[in-house]
Amino acid sequence: MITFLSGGTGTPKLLRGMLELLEEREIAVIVNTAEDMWLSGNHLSPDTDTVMYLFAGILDTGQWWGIRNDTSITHDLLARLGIEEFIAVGDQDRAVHIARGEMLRSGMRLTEATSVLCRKFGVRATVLPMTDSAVTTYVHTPRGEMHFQEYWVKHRGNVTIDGVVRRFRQPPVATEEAIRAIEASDAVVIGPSNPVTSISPILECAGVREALRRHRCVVAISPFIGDAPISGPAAALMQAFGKEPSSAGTYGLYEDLIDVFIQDIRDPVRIKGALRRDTLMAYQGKSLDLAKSIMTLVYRC
Amino acid sequence: MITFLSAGPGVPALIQGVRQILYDSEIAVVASTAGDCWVSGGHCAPEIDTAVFLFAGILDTGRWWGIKGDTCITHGYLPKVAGGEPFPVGDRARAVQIARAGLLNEGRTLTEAVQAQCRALNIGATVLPTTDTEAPLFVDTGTERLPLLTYRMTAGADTEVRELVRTAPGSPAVTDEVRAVIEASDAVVIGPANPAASVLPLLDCTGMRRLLRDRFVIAVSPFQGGVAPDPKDTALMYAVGETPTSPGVFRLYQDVVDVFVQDLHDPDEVAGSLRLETHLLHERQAESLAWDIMAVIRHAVS
Repeated sequence: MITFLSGGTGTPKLLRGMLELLEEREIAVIVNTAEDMWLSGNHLSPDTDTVMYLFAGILDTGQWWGIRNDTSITHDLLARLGIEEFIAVGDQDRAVHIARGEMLRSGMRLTEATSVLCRKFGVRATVLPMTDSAVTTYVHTPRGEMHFQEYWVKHRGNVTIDGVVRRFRQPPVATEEAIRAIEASDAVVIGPSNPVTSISPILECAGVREALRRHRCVVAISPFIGDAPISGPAAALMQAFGKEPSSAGTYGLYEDLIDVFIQDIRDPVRIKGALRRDTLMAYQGKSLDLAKSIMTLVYRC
Repeated sequence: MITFLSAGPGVPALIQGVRQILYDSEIAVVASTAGDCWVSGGHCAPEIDTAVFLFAGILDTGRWWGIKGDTCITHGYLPKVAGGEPFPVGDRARAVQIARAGLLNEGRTLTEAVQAQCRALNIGATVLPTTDTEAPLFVDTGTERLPLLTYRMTAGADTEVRELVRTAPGSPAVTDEVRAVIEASDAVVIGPANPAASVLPLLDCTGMRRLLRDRFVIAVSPFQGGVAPDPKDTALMYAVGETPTSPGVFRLYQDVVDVFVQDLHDPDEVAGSLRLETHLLHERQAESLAWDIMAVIRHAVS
């Protein structure tokens, strides 16, 4: 089994390549839940849903979130009623939020709710939320603290930020299921997701860093080429997080955990010992190529 | 101004008839909140929604609930994803319920939330919940307690109804807005809704009966005798200790009504009642009854 640490865009692109090489049940994904929120009375878990929909074969791969060909009738009428849902929640997508919201309200753990949803979608991969307790990423802006989804989706990242914080009632602890998945895996892959908002929340869950340190084969892929991320708001966030927005900054966050660091062949930043691969997964074939070279490394571990 | 008490099943058709005679701004609807419930994070309020949709011109007048042309995509997808709702919720209706839940969760009262929605939908009429206190009514079937709406929409016709219970403590009180609108009305019309499910919960709100005693109140019996009424309407009436007949309805209303209307052909005589054609099967009948009721009101209050 291979375990992936995933956020919402970069890593799912890698997973779509991995799906051609591995049996789905050989894949476990620990997803970031620090962007989860209660929206319109129900539970939105953007990264979980993206990964789950990818395995279910219903992901809208044009935007890398939501369900393909979904409608947004409720969302559109809400706007007319003066309620601004800053994410265009689709009608089928909303059903998933409702089902999860009801399960959580009835006292189920997020891990259990996710597993029920995955079963219903016929997903054979293991999709695991990083933690069952609530932890949320907020960014500091001149207008005050703002939920990361609001910053990125509503304001499209067009707000200056000078800090990133995680808010929680109890410090998040990784679930037993997540730790066991790491321990049972031949390799752990830290995908090319945003280091600050996607990967760090997972690493911050008590138990994850220790489990990774013990593991003999951890591979990380940098999401940066030079000082720009392949997608998303990583650069501004890295600076707000006090790290250099580059592969070097990313490496700095991971170096005590990983055995292999992969950066893009075009990346001007030099990191000693890093492997150079084409990480620009613009289409399925590129995802497959990167997946193949990662698997070659894994077999050597 | 004319105020309708309750917008339960049976009444919207009559309101639609009255809309042919009066401007919307001269009509107020005080809706029962006994059937309200929370579904999938949204606030479902069947009577309020029916009235709001009616005045917004989007009510499905085929079944007299829900929005015309609404779809059920989310509801239809729920069973596939381990969810489920006790009754179908349309996608557009869901937006209205989510919006209202949002306002309530912000700390607004139900009245404020409904007023905000009426403004958003450009409604000329006044639609008010009877009370701001959450006091839903449950149907005790002997084995479980079903929310009123769930019973109405999904329970089998032969489901036993032992009693109607309100689990919330205390007695809900009418709001100041309801008080003001009733005091400003020339007459109050209790439409042909089920007394047990729609009208009594509203009459039982603290302050309501006293308010009505000072007003001209005209009530229309929902039962026409001769034909067997809907089995659920029957069961609900027996649950409050009355027969599903016009005399049964009259006994429940007699301390507040001035004129009691029953159907021309109703074999069950209520002394002093006004006999009118009360079948509301098509628009013409509703409009005709509306004209008759308005004539009675004009005669009485002038």
